[in-house]
Amino acid sequence: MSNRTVIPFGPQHPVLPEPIQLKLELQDETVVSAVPHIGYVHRGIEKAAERMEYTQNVFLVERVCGICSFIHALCYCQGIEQLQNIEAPPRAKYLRVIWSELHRLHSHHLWLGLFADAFGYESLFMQFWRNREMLMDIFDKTAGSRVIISTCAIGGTRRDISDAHLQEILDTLDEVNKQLDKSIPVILNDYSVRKRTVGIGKITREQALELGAAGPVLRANGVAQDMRQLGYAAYGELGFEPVTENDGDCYARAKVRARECYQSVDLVRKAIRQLPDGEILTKPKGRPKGRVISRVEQPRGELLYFLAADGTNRLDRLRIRTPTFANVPPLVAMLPGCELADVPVIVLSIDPCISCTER
Amino acid sequence: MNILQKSRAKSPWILHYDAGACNGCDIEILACLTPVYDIERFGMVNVGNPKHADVLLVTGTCNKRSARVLKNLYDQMPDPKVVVAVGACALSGGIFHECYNVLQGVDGTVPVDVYVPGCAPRPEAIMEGVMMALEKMNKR
Amino acid sequence: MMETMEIKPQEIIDIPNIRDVDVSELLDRVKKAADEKRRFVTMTALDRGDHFEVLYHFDRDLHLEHLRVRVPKGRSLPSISSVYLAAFLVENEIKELFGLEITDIAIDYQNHLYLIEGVEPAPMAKDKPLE
Repeated sequence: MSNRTVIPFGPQHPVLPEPIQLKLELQDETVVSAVPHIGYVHRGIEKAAERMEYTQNVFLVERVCGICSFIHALCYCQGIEQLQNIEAPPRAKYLRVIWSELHRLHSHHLWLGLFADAFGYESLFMQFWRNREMLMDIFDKTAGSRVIISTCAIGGTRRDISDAHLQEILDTLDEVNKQLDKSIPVILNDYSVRKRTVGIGKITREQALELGAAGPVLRANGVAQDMRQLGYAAYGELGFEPVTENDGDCYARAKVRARECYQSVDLVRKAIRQLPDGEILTKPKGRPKGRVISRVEQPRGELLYFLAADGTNRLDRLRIRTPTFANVPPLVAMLPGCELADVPVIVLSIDPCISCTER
Repeated sequence: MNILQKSRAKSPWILHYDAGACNGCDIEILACLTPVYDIERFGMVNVGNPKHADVLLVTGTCNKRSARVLKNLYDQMPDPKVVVAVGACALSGGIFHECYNVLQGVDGTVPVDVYVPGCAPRPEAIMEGVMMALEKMNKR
Repeated sequence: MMETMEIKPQEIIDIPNIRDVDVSELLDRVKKAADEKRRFVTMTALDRGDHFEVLYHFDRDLHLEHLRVRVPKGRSLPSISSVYLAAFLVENEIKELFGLEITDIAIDYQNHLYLIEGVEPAPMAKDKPLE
């Protein structure tokens, strides 16, 4: 006797700002298997990167994802810098850390808000998004744009941050920190949130490694892997330690992100304190030639760029592996056994970024 | 303006579909909903059901797969309805206009009433676009 | 300034830790990597004219190691998704966008992961126009 049903989840679904479809096979209310169907936002950026000049590609890769655009540009620029054998000046490296961490902070705020919304906590969602606007104002002031800030350039950064703005960032972060102290306990200590996340969507440490999980999904399983440990930009000088949790469920993933919010605040403060004076841009020389792999940590995890250049002004190949692409197989492993009503929370717990995934 | 038109303009319900955007425009649309910009003061509510919606906000370059979904959503919306294309990609394909899987702009798939330029457009611009679309809807 | 700059023979930068393997021994090598608890990161395919170059990237404690196979055009490559299930997405992507036949993928999308029917297949291949 089989009463299995297949339910399509998405592509247009209120919990998802972006289109992805999951074909869920159900036995009564329990998910038996899930197959992801993507392709709704596939544009073909990797091919476009072979058509455009390598300097133009900075603007292209920023638009792989609008949430972490600066970090995409950073990963690409660091790859080209390695190929051209140049190094960004120290001040630029610190500025890169500041903008990267602000991006992580706004991305985690955005996610915490969406996560709260998935439980029906609408006012908490509004609270996180209101706090996020303070960070958007910083981008607006320092870069002139809220979303795609375009401040990373090959050889450094395109803009500097003035002392007045640095002070403003510090003041804003104090306020952000204060607000986090108010909102984070609500999401982490609340009875119904715990009921809906503790033990839900659990994977083991072995599974996470085997399925190639990245970022908070991996770190929620006690694996201390964060690309910032590689010490790119100025992270090597800031004494960075990854945040880990051990339970591997939705709650652990939320906790990792919540703690990373505080960590980002600290990193920005530290970077501003240690920010050296000087140039912000090294003039690139020659054309890139050779192959290199560049890795940085996005809010969602490890971002990998593979660059192959043959000495012309165009790249031979640009491969982009984004963290959500790596987190889809773990998601497929998390879903079986859960109830249909928990699917939105579990899908959100990997912080899916579909435009990253499909490029 | 009769009572129906008047009340419709006071409480337009919005359906948002990402037809292939980088997320930038989508988070700005979501930002419109939140306390700083708060489009709910114009009676606008974001809904998930196309049959409830009056305004369709489309972001992103339409690709060949999402065009079908977009057309589907548009057809399910009741008349009168208006479409607002948000962002450079939705207008012309933007930076992706020469990519192999991209249709240049959404107006080849659904009729667009208001174009909001920008990459990404600011929330104020998106709100202005929706207000303009409502004026258009009331003349129908 | 640019004209007077002396052009030095530039050392070609390449990725370290690449091991070339034959298609026939690929699965054994990948199994070995799995036994040694390496995390599968991703695969990269490159169209080199008469053959495809496929790189398998593995991570162990933040160090990357790579396997490289070269597949002549027209030949097929076995899937590693029986060892690393995580590879199914990227294998489908390579199969669809490059036209490299990969056999026995755990979840095979039949060339419709990204593209719909009626679209020119294998758009990433080098002989396809850039636009």
